[in-house]
Amino acid sequence: MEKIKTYDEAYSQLEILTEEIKNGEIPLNLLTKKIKEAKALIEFCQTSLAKVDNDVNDFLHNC
Amino acid sequence: MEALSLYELNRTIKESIDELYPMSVWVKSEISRITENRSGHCYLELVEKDPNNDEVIAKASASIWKNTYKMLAPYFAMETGTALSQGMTVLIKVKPVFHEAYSYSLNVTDIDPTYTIGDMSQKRKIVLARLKEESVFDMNRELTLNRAIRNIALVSSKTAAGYEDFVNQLNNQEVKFNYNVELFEAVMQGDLTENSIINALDSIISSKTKFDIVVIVRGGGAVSDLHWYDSYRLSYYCTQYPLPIITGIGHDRDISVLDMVAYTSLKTPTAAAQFIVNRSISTYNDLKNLINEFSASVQSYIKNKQVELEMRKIDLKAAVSDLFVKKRHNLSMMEQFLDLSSPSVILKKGYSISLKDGKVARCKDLHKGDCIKTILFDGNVESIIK
Repeated sequence: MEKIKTYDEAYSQLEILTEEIKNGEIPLNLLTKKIKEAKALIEFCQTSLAKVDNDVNDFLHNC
Repeated sequence: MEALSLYELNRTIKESIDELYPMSVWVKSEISRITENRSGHCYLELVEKDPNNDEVIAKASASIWKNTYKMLAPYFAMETGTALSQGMTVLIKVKPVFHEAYSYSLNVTDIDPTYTIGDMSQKRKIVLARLKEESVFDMNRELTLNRAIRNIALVSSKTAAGYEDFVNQLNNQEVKFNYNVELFEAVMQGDLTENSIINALDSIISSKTKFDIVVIVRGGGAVSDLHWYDSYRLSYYCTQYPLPIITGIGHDRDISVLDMVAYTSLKTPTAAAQFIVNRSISTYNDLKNLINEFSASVQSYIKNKQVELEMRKIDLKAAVSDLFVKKRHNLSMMEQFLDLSSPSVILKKGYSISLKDGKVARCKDLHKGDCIKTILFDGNVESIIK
């Protein structure tokens, strides 16, 4: 898997992955790998959001 | 040759003057100098200038004796809003006197303030018209006043109440803003006013501090001596000034030319300070609102992203679980099909399989006397073809 750069990139990869699974385009033997990828993407998105949320709260409390 | 003594000569002149002007007469004149001595008498130097070249064409000393001056000075000040002062044009009732020992002078008995008022308003009109004609009248107002005012250059006299009023009003607020007020002292009344204020404004520009605003204040005295602030030179200077000027010259009768060209004019030093405080409050509130608006939009942005991600997770889970359900279903279909096609199931139904030499027997390959093996549900039998 390529290195994820931004939240939006990660999010759109996640969208594509879901579509592929929905359409049954993914062979079963690759599903585990794909699910691992999806998990990493979700974690990345959640961490990014949490970090931004923290920064925002920090900013809001200090101004 | 018979000669007159100086006294005799002066006495004849005195007699002629007395004869010529037995009563007081009204005279128009400009005051070129005015002093009040300790005993309360007022001494004037009166001049008339050639309007074409400003050259003095007539000059006389005049005096207003204490008792008359005590009456005339307040009356004049009340009517005109300004004290008798140098450079002013007056209509006065005088009795020319010639004293043998002290020579010629005029004894002032009355004054007509309306003449001075008319003259001042005429001069003011000319100044205003000139500033407008030169298209400079609005220039100070066209400057941009900083939203957050911090450095204030105050032009005032340190001893005047106006200075104190201004500073007190700045500090006496519920919400305190941090102002830096620097005083540039100036004479705030009398004929030094014009030069003194211009010098103070010059010092402000050459000062190291970068000021946001200039405030010219003066505490209201008993007499609002305003006409110094109608000066063309001072007003013109202010229109060309690079910083916004606000005035609080402390008067309620009339508005001076300086007030008219200023960025904002207020009646008192206290009001001038309040103007600055109000601007700070409004800037502060605007900033607070902007921050709140910003916070709200950022928070809702994040919230949206969180919701979106949650939805995505649910969607993904559903897709994965759907996929499994589908695969499992396919698998079980396959199983069922295979089950149905298994030989044990078919044999159970009563069918049998016959083999010849280990292969499924076909009629065309069988001959009389051949031995075949038949598999039945519950066992095998061997038979010979007849």
